Amino acid sequence: MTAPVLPRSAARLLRWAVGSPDVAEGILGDLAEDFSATELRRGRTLTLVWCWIQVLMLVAVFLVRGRSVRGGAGGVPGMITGLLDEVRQVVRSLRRSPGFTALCVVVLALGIGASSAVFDGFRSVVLADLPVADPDRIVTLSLNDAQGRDVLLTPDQIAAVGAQAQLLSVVAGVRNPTSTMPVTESERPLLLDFAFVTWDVFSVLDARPALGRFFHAADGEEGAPPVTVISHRTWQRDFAGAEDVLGRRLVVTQYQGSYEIIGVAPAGLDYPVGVDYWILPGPRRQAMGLIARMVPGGSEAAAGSEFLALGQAIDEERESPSEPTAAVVRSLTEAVVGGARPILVAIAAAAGLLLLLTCANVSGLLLIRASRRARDVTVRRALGASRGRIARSVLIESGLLGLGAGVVGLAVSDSGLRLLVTLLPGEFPRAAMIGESGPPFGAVLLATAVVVTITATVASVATIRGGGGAASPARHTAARLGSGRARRTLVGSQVALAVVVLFGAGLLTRTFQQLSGLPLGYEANGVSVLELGIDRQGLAGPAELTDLLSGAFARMRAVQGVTSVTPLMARPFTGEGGVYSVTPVASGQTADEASRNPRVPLESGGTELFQTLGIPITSGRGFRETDRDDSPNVVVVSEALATQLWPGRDPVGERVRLRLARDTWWTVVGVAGETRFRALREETPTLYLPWRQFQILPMAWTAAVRMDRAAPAGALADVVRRYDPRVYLWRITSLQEHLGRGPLATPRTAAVLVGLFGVSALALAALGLYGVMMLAVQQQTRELGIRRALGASDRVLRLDVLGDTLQTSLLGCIVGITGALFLGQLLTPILFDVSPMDPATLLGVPALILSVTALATYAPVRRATRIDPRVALQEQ
Amino acid sequence: MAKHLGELEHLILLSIVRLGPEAYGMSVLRELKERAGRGVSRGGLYLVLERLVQKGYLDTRMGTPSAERGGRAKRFFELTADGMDALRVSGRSLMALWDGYEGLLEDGR
Repeated sequence: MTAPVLPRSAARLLRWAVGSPDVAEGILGDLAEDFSATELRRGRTLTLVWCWIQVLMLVAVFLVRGRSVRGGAGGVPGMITGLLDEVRQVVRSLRRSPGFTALCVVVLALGIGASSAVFDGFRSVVLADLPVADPDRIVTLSLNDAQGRDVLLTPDQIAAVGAQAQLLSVVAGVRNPTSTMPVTESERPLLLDFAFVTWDVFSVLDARPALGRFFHAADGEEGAPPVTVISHRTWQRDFAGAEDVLGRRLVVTQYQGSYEIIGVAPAGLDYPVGVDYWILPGPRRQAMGLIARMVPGGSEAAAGSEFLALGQAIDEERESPSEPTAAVVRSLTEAVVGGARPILVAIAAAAGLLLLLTCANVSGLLLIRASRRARDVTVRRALGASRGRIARSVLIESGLLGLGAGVVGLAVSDSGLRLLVTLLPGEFPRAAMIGESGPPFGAVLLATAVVVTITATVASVATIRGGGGAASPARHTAARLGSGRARRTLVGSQVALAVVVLFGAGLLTRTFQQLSGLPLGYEANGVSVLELGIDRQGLAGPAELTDLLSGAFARMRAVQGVTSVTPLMARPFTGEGGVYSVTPVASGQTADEASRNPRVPLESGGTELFQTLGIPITSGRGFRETDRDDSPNVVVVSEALATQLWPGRDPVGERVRLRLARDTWWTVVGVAGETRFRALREETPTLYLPWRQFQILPMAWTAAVRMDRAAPAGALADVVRRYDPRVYLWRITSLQEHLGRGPLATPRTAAVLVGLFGVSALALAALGLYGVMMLAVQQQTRELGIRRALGASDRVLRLDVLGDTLQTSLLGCIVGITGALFLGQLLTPILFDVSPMDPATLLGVPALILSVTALATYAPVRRATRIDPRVALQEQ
Repeated sequence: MAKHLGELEHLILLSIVRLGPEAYGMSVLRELKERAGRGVSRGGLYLVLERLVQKGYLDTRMGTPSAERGGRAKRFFELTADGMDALRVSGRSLMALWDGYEGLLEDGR
């Protein structure tokens, strides 16, 4: 059992209320004893809520009745007794209308819960510092050539830059993005993403290991025993946070390299994004980007220009043939969180707006209640109650409701956070940080404070203005109109806020629709992606490896239900650059023309590549069994690339020069359709090579299988297992899953979350409007009755009430659209094929809102036309 | 001269006597619940305890902090001579009234 930890703020509150430290210590200790027992039974969140309720009750008891204990004979100051009396009165009146109280608490709690959950998630991902010292001074640096392509450096070159740079104090190399390599840990297969770094990367970060140590200079030397540092997430997920993880080994299957785990990085250190473990580059020199710590007071711009100068000075043979012309400097936070920021901003904005809306809504409810009590107030005023006192009771009422909502909101928020974590895509940076620090007390407290302040202020101001001066009948009417205006403003602002949130939801939903409706260029249904691990120990050379794999593919092909099989370069959606990209040069192009050629991703596959993925061959042919390493090099190009390299000509038969291991010429034998295989948002012109003529030695062998029947997954694993012990089937996932988890995941999350907020906003606005109109009709009963008696038709009355509603909502819509346009600008980076001022959404949302509000006034309108003049006139 | 005790005061003092050196907030609460079948609210209990301390019926001493209490000490209660007197007086008057009617305790239902 762990030692119970009471919320510190609760303990402080109790100490204050009790007065005597010893008494408080005894009580808190008793609570702590119960706390552990309750926690075991009910879980942490409920226990916290329970604890707060206990403390609040104790505080109330001690404040109300314990003052004599606390203050001795001095008695209780009159003001406090008065206040407590009022509190008791308000509590009693709230208990008398449980429906109203519950409605207010639930509405507020949902607002508080949703917004604080999102705010807390936002804080964890974006605002919480990375676990490194002085993160502001850490930058990632890269060099670009004139075409905007990365110019990478070798570890030696990076060391040279570090030695010469005046503005950078420590410099290290990082290979970004990460790659996947199947590893085993005590025979257990794991698929982990790793990043190559130079040994001093953690010195740049100046981070402290959560366990063990980071790399030393000696670890990077030739012949040193291979070691690795694992991420906090991996430690928790794959090693269950065991202390004895140090000294265990990650064994890379394909070359039986065995890395000893020497340390665990601190939580939230997600650089490069998605990394599971860091290793040092082997004898094969890796081209890398830079991460560096600037000297104190250094600016990013100055560091960037110095780096560019140093980079241009390195004229030794470079990994990339082109000359750097620009340096890109990004802060570490930007590099880690960058892409996730707009979506979080959007979600946070929507949650904040929803919170404001709940405030407006509950303020409206309080006002309605206050005006129901208008006569009561008038009487109290007549009996000498001051305006202040009346306002105070409204204040107390909203305060109590807010507090109650805060307690419930805490539970809502905690489950909201958990929901958020499950909704966010797995690759989301630092998602593991969300909810790490327990329930979001701070955020809930903040949201509750906002709610109490706003509702209390609005409600009390409106009450003083509205119900305050009600002494004469004439002023009574005037006052009622005044408070009517206040209520209408509240409803109008709810409509406006709902327009903004719904507009955001609309844009995000349309983005998701556009993305999921994109023509992929291949047929994702029925395709599974297989990741294979191969133990390459004892394999003589590439030829033997190819034979081993061919055998495996042949067995898979023979499985019932499998219609085609092909090796792949890597699993899909690895990014726009693909896994391996080259700049092709067409025969006959001048150097100048060639320099404008795009850098395109390479794919390599077997004879059934196009058939498996369902990519159409529009001209020429695909690959054949005869395209082998001893036959002429052949290539298939995608249409867009063909048009660019040979405009207006038939590319089949043309030749293209590719700079792979060395410069080689390839003959175009076919043209394939455009696809969105490496990235979803853009079609990528692509080069396809037969796998027997071109292989990079991949970290994990990938293959695609097309099946006409569901689920021979087990059968596939079986054949592979029986085929050769050196081949393992690591993972099998459908292409649809890759699509859903990868490029569609974030837009879907955003659309779902903001959509939820939007629907809640709409419901709340409708509820608010309903309440206000109901009241308006009720208050005008007499007037409406007279008008009916004088012969006004149902239609006129109906239009009257409806017109009133529409006027308010229309005004709200107009204000809301202004805000919506602003939100649209904020969302621009994540929208796809949807204008931030999308006219359909811009018109659709107000139309939806107006029809819902019209619907919400159905009951009030009905009531207006059912008024019996005789009854109406007798009233009051 | 000791005044008469309220019913809850009476129960609490008696529980403290029964618990001996182990009487502190939680144990009193438990004793009341388990032995006397009285579910007393936490606030009510502490309030009465403090009142009894103020009347001079109870002495208190702080124990040593323990982990299961989140590093907090127990606040033990013990009857003073006055407290014992008050309990006796109340107890006697109660007994006196019960005298001869113990049969009612057997099966009152």
